[in-house]
Amino acid sequence: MQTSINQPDDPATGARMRTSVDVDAPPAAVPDVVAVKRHYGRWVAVAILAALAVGAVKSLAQNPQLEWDVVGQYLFDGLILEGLGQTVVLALLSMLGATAIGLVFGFFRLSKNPVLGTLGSLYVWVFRSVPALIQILFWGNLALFAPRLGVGIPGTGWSLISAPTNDVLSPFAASIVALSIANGAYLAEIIRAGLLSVDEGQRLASSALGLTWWQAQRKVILPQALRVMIPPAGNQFITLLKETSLVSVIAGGDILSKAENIAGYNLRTIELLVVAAIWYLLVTSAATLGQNIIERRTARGLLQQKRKQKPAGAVDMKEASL
Amino acid sequence: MSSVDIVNVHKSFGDNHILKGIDMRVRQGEVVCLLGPSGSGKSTLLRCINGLVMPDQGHVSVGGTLIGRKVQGGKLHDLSDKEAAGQRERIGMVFQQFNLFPHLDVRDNLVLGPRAHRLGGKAELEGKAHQLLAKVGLSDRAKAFPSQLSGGQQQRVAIARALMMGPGLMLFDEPTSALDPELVGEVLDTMRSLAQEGMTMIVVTHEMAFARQVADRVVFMADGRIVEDTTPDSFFDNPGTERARAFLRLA
Repeated sequence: MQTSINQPDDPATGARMRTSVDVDAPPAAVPDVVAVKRHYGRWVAVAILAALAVGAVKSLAQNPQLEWDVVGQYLFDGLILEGLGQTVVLALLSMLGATAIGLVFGFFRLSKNPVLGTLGSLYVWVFRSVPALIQILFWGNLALFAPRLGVGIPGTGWSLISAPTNDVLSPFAASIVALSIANGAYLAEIIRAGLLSVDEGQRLASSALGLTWWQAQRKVILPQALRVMIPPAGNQFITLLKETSLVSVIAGGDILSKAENIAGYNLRTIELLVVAAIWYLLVTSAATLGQNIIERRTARGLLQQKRKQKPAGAVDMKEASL
Repeated sequence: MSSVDIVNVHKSFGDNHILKGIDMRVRQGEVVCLLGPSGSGKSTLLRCINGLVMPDQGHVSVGGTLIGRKVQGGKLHDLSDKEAAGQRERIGMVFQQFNLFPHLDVRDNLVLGPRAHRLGGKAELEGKAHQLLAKVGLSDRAKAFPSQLSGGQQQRVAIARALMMGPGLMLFDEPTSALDPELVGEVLDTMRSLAQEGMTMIVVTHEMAFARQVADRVVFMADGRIVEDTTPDSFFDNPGTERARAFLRLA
C-alpha cells in the first residue's frame, strides 16, 4: 500500500529527496478500476423504516375502532362528492381573488408613492398576522355586528343599496371573501418578490422604447417575473387548498363540513376524517402535478436558450426526457 | 427636427450633486461624443435627454419640444406617464448592458416597441425588423433568443431595436464597455455607418479612437460640469485644460 510519495522524508535529506525524479514518479502498478461504493447504512435505514411502516399499516388496518368498509362506503358518497366539488371551487375562486388582491397590493408595496406603499405594507401586516381561522369566523359572523350590508355615502346616512348581511354573505361567500383576503397578503409578497427579481435595466429599456408603465409591466416585467412567482404561488395554492378545511367552522359547505355533518348523525368520526383526508391527498397531488406542468411551460423560453448552447447529443437526451 | 438643447440642467441624487448646471447644444445630424472620468455625470446627462431622469432645475428640449415637462403658470410641470412615453418614441437609446428582453426572441424584441405604439401591422413591422437586422448584419438570427447571442451581436440587436421606432436622435450609453475587446469593432462599425447616414447621435464612450474619427464634436465632462466642448482634433491634440490633459494621459 505504501507508495513512494507517502514515504516520510528523512528530515536531513528531505529537500533533496523531493526534487528527485525517482521518488516523485507514480507507482507502477495502479489498478484501473474504481471500486463501487456500498451504502450499508442506507440498507439498514430502509429495513428499520419498512418495519415501522408495516407496523403502522397493520395497526391501522386491524384497529377495531376504524372500520375500513365504512371508509369505502362514504368515499364516493353523494354529500362527500358535493363537498369535494365545493372545496375545489372554493380553492380556485379564492386563489383567483387572492391573486387579484396580491397583484394590486404587490404593486402598491413597490410604489414610489408613500401613501400606496404604506397601504400595501399595512395590508400585508394585518392579514398575514391574523390567523386565517379568525378571519373566517369574522366574515362568517359578520351579521353579528353588521346586520345589514349596503353601499352608501359616508357621513350622510343615505344608502343606495342595502340588504341583510346573511342574504348577501352566505357561509360559502364569506369563506371565499375570507380566504381571498387572507391569501392575498401572501400573494402580494410573492408577486412583489417576482417583480423585484427582474433586472432594473429591463424597466429602463422599456421606458426608453416609449412604453407606458402598464405596457412595460404587461409585456416585459410580469412575463419575466412569472417564472420566479410560479413555484411559491403553486405552494400557496396547495396550502390554500387545505386551508379551505377551516371553513367547516362556519359550515362553509366544503368536504370537511360535509364529513362532519355525516359524522354528526352516524358517529363514525374517524372514518369520515379518513375519507376527507384521502380526498385532500388526491386533490393536492393533482395540484402538485399541475404546478410541475406550468413550471415546465413557463421555463420553456429559458430551456430553449439552454438547448442551443449545448452540444447536439445533450439536446436529444434532454428532449427525450421531457 | 432633432436638435438638442440642454439649458442649465442640475441634478442631485440625495446629497450627491451629479450635474451642476449643464448647457449644451447639439445640431441635427451632428455626432457628439461625451467623454470624462466615471462619476462625471455623463450617463445622467444622457438620461436627462430622453426623460429617464428628470432635472431638478433647467430643461432639455429635443426638436423644440420640452422633454418630460410642460410650462404652466410660469413653472415646469411633469408630463403624464403616457405623454412622456410618447416623447421617447422618437429618441432611441442603447445601453451598456444591452438590456434586450430575455423572454423574447430577436424579432419580437424589435417588434415590441412599435407594436405598443401601433406604428404598423404585424407583418409590416416584421418586414421592417428583417430589414434592420440585415443592416446590422444579423438577418439570420431573427429567431434566436438574446442569451444565444454574443455580446456584440446583442448590442447590434439593441441598436436595431432602437432604430425600429424611426428615431431622429440616438443616445448611446457606453455601448462597448461591457464587450470583450474582440467584439467592440463590430458595434463601432454599426455606429459608424449610422453616423454616415446623418443620424444625430450623442455617445457616451471611452473609445477615444472612435471619438476622434467619427465625432463632429467632443464634450469633456468632469465633476458634473462641461470642461471642454470642441472639435476632436483640438481636444486630442491640444486640450485646453489641465483636467482634460490629465484625463487623456490616463486614457
